[in-house]
Amino acid sequence: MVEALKIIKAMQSGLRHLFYSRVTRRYPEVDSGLPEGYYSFDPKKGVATAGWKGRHYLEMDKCTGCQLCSFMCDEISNAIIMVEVPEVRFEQNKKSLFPSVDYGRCVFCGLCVDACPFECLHMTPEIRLADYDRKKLYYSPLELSIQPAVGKPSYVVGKRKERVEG
Amino acid sequence: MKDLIDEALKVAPETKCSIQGNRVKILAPVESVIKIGELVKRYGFDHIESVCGTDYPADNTIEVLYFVGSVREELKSKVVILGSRIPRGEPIFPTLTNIWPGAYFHEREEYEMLGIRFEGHPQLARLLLPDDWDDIPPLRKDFHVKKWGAAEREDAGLKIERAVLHHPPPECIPSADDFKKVRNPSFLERFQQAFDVPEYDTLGRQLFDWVQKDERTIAISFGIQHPGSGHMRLVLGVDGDTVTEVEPDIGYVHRGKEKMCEYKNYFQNIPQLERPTIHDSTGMIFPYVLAAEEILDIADKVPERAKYLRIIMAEFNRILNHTYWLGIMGIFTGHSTMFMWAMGDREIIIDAAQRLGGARVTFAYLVPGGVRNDAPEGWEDYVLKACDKFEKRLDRYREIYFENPLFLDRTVGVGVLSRQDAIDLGIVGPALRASGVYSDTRKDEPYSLYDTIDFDVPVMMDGDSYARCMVSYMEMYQSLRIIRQAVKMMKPGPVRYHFRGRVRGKVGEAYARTEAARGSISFYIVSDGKEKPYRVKINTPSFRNLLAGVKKILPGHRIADVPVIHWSLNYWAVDADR
Repeated sequence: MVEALKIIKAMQSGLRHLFYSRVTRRYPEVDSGLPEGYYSFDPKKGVATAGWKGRHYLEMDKCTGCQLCSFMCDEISNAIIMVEVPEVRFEQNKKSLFPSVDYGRCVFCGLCVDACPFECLHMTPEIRLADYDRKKLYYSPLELSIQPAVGKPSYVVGKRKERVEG
Repeated sequence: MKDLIDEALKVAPETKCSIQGNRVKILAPVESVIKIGELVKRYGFDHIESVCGTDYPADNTIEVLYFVGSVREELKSKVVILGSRIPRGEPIFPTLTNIWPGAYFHEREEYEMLGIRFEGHPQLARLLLPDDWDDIPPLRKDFHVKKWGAAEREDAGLKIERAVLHHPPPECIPSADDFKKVRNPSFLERFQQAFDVPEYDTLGRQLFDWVQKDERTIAISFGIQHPGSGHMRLVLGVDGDTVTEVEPDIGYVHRGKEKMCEYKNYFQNIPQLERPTIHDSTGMIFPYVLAAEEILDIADKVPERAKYLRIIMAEFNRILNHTYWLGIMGIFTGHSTMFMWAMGDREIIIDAAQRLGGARVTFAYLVPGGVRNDAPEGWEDYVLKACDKFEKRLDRYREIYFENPLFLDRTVGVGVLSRQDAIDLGIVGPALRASGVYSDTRKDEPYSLYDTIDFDVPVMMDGDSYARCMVSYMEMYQSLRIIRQAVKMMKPGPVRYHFRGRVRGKVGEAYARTEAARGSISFYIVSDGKEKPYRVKINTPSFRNLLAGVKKILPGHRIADVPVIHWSLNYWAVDADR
């Protein structure tokens, strides 16, 4: 008899749950609820800002093509490949070398951001990267330099510099 | 500890002993290892933690070390490292399974990873590697991961170079079509492969012979595709409906983490090390970070705020692990509501953790020298609110699950592990505490300011599946208590030690252990003064729990109880295989 009462009590507890608010989010219609900040690293302080580690945002006007992000990524997931973008030229980057990211390999650890000494690589709350073709997961530097629609840039993200002609 | 060393020196005068903090290292000659082992056990070190072999080609020796802890109150914080150096060409070592039965599987692992033959071991056989492995033991230093298999990759046209300087997408990135070309052989090839069965005796077949002792016994496979087994297999010998003998067959998700660690520097290791246990990711890298800090010589430079943030993140992960585990336990006992509730309520904690760590499961938040980033503004209040919300939900679990007669019938008295067995077999974590042993690394050897925080360690005396569930459930309350205190005790300040220049370790070794969600987890790192570790030994709680536990607990139970016992030990196959 006591056992039966306990079962009834358990069922009661479950039934009460019907009137609770929903735990799941109806995602595409409702906001994803992710933190809005960018994950950026301040090399002078040696500390990052709290933010979501999603797609990268590359500030091409700060990048010197030093390859440190690529060196860091080499043994982690080998996702960053330095590529030459001849049409974009900045004073500090004579060879026009910029990182490109293969999101089929990236593990979103964000250590490339920590490795960057020029504050030019950031991670954003952009998470919708899925595609039908694997090649489209490969983001060129120019695609990475487009700021995504979501998220608030951290204070580390600076002003744009002018391109050098020729 | 001095008297132990004196006694060891009496047995063998050429023994080298050293005390470093709480670690006592005894390097004895091979002949007297057994005698000194008995001495160490008599002294009170009864809880085997790990067996580790390290290859030193320069000296032409292999160092075999046994890490032995204790559950006695006065010795809890200490670890005895007992070992010996043996010649590389003829690596024969006397087994110590007679002294510490829990070393059974640890020795089998070192046997296949370094080729050390443990004389007198009851069943020295393969454990993790594939059955058709015909190369040298992989943790030997002359086995190079990058050279191995390189020819195959080139044949497949998948040669990947580092810096390819052209744009648009270089051809080295394989497209979907390339994968089809490489991975899917034609029908004819497959047909031929089907008849190419090699003629070696696989471990799988051996296991069937081992459990099939007489004609009444039937050997059956529990797993690997059974949803209750995870990525592993239990070969059960059954007499009617009763299990008589069990042989676990693991290694299906073995990734060679220990070898991979030798190819990456101290920071690059972090993302890959948290992959084995994604819902307890911080628990896995916590001891690694502590050991790496000892090697990098910055253990005393970690800021105080970083230590509290580490504690908070570790406790978040403990809750995430226990809720996940409780949910699956609900499925195994036929209680889907528990599964839905636990999975839903995890989100409360994940929301709080992702604001700090920037990801849902694999945060990569801890680094040598501190944590990656400070907490965002207003995060403390958010966490306290989340803790209150989660605690209310936890109270409801008691009504629907822990007092539910249906759950009690499935678990009470099922899978009893006695106190003495638990200690002998080296069981850790909730399973050990459910058997009546008060042992928690956070209390035994407080690390990272755990000693400033007031919390209890739940212990139950029954040792059955219900006790193991209940201990984990009570631990979640304690985790919430720790988080609340840590959030209030944190003071503003720096969170990370700032490295300058290249990061190199000092020559030496470090052994760090922490309490992860599944139990005590330890890392042993050897450094030769370079940027990358020389040897990393990962000793996970799942490996210690299931392998020793299942063989002892399961015989005598019915097949229907196997999933419940198996999961009540909180086993995670990837954690054990590494």
